[in-house]
Amino acid sequence: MTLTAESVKTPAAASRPMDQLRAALNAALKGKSRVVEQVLACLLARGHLLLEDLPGLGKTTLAKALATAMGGRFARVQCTPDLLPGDVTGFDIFNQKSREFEFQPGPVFSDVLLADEINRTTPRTQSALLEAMAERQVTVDNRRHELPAGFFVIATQNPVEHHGTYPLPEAQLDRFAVKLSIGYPAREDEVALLAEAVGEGRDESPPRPSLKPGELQSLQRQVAAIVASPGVRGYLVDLGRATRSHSRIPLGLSPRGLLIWQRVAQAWAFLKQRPFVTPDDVQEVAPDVLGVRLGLPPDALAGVLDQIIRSVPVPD
Amino acid sequence: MVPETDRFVRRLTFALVVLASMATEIAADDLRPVSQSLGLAMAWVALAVIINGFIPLPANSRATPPRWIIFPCLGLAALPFVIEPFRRDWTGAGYPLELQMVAGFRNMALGFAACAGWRLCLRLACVSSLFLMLFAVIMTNHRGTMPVLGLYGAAGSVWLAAVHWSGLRQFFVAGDNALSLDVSGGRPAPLPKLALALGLLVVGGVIALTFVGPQQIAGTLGELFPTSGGTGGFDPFARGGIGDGDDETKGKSPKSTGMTQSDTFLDTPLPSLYDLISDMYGEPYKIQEQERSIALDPLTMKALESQKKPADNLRPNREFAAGRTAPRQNRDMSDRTARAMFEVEGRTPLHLRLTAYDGFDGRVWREAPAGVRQVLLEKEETGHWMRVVSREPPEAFAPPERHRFKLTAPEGPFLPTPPHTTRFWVAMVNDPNFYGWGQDRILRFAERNAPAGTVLETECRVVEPKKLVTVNFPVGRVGERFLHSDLPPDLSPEIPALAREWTRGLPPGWPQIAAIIDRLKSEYAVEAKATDPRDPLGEFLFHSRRGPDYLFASATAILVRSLGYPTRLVSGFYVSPEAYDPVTRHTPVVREDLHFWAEVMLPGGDWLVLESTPGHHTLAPEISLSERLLLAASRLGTWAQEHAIEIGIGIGMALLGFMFRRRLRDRLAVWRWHFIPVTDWRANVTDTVRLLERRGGWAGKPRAGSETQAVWLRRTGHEELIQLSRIIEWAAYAGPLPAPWPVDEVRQVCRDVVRAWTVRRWRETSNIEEVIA
Repeated sequence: MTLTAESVKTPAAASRPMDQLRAALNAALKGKSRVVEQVLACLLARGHLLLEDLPGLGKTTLAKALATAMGGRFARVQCTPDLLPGDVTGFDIFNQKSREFEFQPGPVFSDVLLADEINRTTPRTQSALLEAMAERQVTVDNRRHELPAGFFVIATQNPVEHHGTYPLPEAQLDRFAVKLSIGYPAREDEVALLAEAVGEGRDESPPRPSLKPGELQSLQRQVAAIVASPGVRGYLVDLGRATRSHSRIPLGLSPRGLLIWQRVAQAWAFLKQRPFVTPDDVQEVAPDVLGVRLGLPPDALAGVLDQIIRSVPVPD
Repeated sequence: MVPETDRFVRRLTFALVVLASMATEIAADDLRPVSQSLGLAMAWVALAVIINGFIPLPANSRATPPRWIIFPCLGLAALPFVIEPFRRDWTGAGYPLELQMVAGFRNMALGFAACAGWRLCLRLACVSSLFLMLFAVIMTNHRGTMPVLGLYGAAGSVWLAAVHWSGLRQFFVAGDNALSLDVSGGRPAPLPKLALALGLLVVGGVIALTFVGPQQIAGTLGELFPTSGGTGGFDPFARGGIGDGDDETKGKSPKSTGMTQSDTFLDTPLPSLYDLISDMYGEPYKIQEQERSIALDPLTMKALESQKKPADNLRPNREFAAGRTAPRQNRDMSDRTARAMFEVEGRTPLHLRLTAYDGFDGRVWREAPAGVRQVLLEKEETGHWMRVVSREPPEAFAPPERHRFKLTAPEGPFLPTPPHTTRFWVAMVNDPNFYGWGQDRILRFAERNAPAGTVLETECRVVEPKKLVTVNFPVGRVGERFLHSDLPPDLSPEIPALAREWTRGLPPGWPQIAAIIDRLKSEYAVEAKATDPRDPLGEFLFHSRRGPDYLFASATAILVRSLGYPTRLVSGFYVSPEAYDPVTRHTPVVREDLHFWAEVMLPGGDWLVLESTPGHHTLAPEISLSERLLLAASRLGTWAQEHAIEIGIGIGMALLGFMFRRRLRDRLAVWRWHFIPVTDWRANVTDTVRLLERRGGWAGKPRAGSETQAVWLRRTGHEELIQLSRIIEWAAYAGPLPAPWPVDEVRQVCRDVVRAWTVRRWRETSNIEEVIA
């Protein structure tokens, strides 16, 4: 038989920069290759990323590693209850010399913004990010300020049940593409982690960016071109409608959610070096995409998703 | 609809259409045997099943079926109209217009069922089957439709539940697991404006035509169908109608008649009843007393002349000779199917009295005097029922039963009434003066003939044989007018001796009578033959031991009479259960049902039928359900014993077919896969994977509805199937992207997989690994 497993694979043009990015993230976060893939999918889908987990599991480490590896300008906001919207978006100050108001850009004017512990700040400040995330622009004092094209938000948060948190409003949550949790590492990974921390300590040499400027945009364009056949699109819509009529889901999937779901599935197919989306891609990214926007407690999500996926036949 | 119920619903729909086809065939010609109707229905269904095998399942059942499907469906609907002229021309049989339409509808329903993969067709098939079922139930009251209707109702309920399962599930599944889904709804279907406009145009046009159009159209629409009668139209193949159609005047079916007076009823060319006895039993011997001349002295001559009896033979049928010639052999028994004299509705057998004879001189029975007055009639206070006034009856009866008699070709004043009639009813004839009596307990119309079309309903007591033991049968002479107890003067002493011998040691009453009947029934045989004119009884009882029914009856009467019980001989009609027509649910009585039997007097003056002719029975009380089931089981056993080989072969074939059903279906599918070439490699791969899926399902490794084919194939862990999983992903979801492999190689992979992955291979593949997503 001449047909081999390799010949069936699609020739992937863009694997080299992706491999570097993947390697950088895996080095930062040991033993979490699936999380890394999910993060990459989110990045390629041009969506914002919400990391939710208990303190100390490596959320910020991952976010920083990603920001560094992507290159570009990196900004970070440590969210506290007294953080004001202007601290994020920037504000006008009066220049005594020119006697004019001048705009002082905030941390959002960057390529990668890390909003650490986003649910520790007030809803007022959280909402300041709405426009920036959705439309990649900021309006201050009736003046519009464009953000960079590759603007990408990584937010981390503690589980909502914790003290001193302001749960993100639904509108805000819907702006994130996926919500990921990292989870505890496996035993051997933790052992390796400890081994690394002993002695001379970690390699403190500043990591180099894995992507050249403009490379990410090119990859994102390739992802957008991944084929989603009419059957798969119908499948997505059917699943979306199923979430709206499910008795336990307080908030059904919005059309924007559907768009993001399709894009993340495209990215997932791209990561698997396949030029088209299969229903399996859709199913595999479903927990990430739906976890952030259905308003379900995390422990109920898996069961409900399982019911929904079982109830909709896959297209043949 | 939930995906796992999809296939179930398709099958259920097919079952609905099958049931509807069965009912339609039964209704289409309810006079033919049910098995024939069912066989025909099955032939059509088999055709649909074969066609179904060649129609691929669509990938998406919610998709709109291809538009060209409408043409074959319309063709199927039109087919009966095309075939009908040829059928009428070649076979001489035909269907009326409404049945042609229904046959077309049935064809269409089967066609839809064959394409039930598309949900639209599935629903259409179900609706069509409902229409057919309703039509069948309305068109006929044949009993065969009832079980079919019941099954249909049951299957239809399940169908509805299955189709609306996603909605119903909320009620049946506990709260936490409930999932209500409406993946197809919410999107309002576009209004088919053009179709609506066309429909309105057609309906409006038709209504307009009824007002302004030709008479024919108005009449047709008024009656829905031109052949249903009353329109003046004529169709030789019309079913029973109201004013036209041949069935009406032919009266073939008792249900079809309003029993109208017509020429056929008034001027019957059939011979009268008076010829019937001679026809049935042969002419009586004419004993030629002048055969030899002997010299007599004048005194003796004179005495003989003066004692000469009046010429009885001038009054026809007033006597019955027990010695007769053999009946004519060329009697055409095929006339059995001829139109009945009357039809009986109710349980049989029945003995319907015509004439009673009391005196017997050894050769000839004399008719008993008519016009008995002891038994009177009176009209009941309410209703039109006439009550027979009688003294307290003996305790020998089961609950009374009703019969209905429809007189199509009555003879004279004869009114058929079962023995022990207590009440009767003839429409509009509600005065006792209209009725008279022949001999005792033989009802007639007084001085007029029974008109054709008379419907007579009777209520009679049914004898409970077990209770007869307690009855005190009267012994001795009853009245001076009658000869019920007179034995022939020259009766051979052997006959009373025989009666005593047969009843030796038995208590008087019914045991003695029953013993005589049993003896005659078991030791004597029926044969229509000439009988001895000199001593018919002696010859029958002691020598030939075979003879026609009148000898059985005469022997019974004389033997019982010799024990002292008053008896009489009765001629009349025997309504045989064997003549029952299950289609019309009536028993026709024809002239050949003429029969003789004996009767013995009961206390109170009523007469009890003594049926001693083998093969004939009296009406027994209705048996209970358990007894009837037992009887049916024993009959079924006998039947099965008689047809053991055929049943064995049938069961064997069915078992083989059942055992190898998957192999057969698989073979069929593989043939289709091989011989119906597809040009597109994608279709080829899809077909291949479907074939594999079916095999996997049979082997107990089905694919879940939410699992893609690729994942399912990968779970096996076999290299060739993993390869195929990549190909099927590409074929199914890559859309316009060109195939990355040569098409020939893909085909080769498909061929290899189909050959290698048989049902057995699937069964043996135990290590289906769970793929870690």
